[in-house]
Amino acid sequence: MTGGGPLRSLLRTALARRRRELASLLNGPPGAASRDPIPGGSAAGEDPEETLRRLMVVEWPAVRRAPQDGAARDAYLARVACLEEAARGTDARFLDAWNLAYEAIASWPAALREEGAARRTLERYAALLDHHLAALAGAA
Amino acid sequence: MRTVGLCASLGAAARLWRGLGGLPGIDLRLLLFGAGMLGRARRAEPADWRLAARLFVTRRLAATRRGLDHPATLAWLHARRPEIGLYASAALCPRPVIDGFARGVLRLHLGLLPEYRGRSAMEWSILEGRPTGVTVYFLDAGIDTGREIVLRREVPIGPGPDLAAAVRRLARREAEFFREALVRLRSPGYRPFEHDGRGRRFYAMSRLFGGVVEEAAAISRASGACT
Repeated sequence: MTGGGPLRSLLRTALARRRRELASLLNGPPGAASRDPIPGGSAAGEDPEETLRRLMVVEWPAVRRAPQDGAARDAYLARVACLEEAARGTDARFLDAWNLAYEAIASWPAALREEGAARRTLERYAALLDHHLAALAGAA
Repeated sequence: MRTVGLCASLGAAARLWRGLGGLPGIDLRLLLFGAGMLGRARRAEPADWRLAARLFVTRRLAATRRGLDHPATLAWLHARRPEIGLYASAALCPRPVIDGFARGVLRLHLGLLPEYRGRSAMEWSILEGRPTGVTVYFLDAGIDTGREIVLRREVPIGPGPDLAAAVRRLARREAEFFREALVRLRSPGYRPFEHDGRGRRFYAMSRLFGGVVEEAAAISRASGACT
């Protein structure tokens, strides 16, 4: 995902730490990620570059401004879900969209974090982290 | 060459004047603009205030609380028939402003173009293990897509308590980079770097990746290596 041995090592450490935080937030052991689709989460036919742009320019600022706005949260999480496949690749920007989603959700009140779409986003994020941790371990 | 520095802060205006005021062939005026300009000016250094007062009296500096695209501001600009603009603001430059300059408006980008467009370009370069640097280019309506790149220089992240401070310090060197770009632009046989559309647009970085970048930059500084 990034160049350089030391960078890979730093990245692996950071992702592993995030994975443990996430497991704690999900109240489950690492590796228990759900395979259920997230409503609205289809990437078919969409350009990931444009999806990322809309996410970061429109939905992410909106949900940061008003996390209590249910429509803004739904739109944001649906857009994040569209980037699941891209986030498995080598372009770190797409995984970072999920990193930001985690950081947003983690800052929400517990009741909002437990909503279906938010929880499924966290579960899918766990699977993405597992994917990249495995890839980084393989490259070491 | 009639040049106008478009500055969102008094500090930036003072730095531009000190760095470029005596550059041969450059007739420099400064415009301090925007609603936030007064608030930022209150935090300016006394020496910057004294310089600003002197420039104001000699009509080298003008100030307005209006935006750049306000009709009165545009009229002021057009009356000066400027050739080159130097844009010292983080906000997007309105299209009518760009169009008001015969040659165009130069902007400093903290990142190497065309590869690293958009936000946090320094941080993304470090995360991807690529060189850091700065670019001075002519603005167009897009995000760091201006086709004419006048200056492109690799610059290591210098020392500092953290990466954000080092990046801020680099940003305050805008006059040095503008000066280099203007000299280059006016030199015989000037040839721009072409923005060929390569590269990607970057966005705000997460705390997770930001932490990785911070650690990588700290290791790089401690080992004396240039990032």
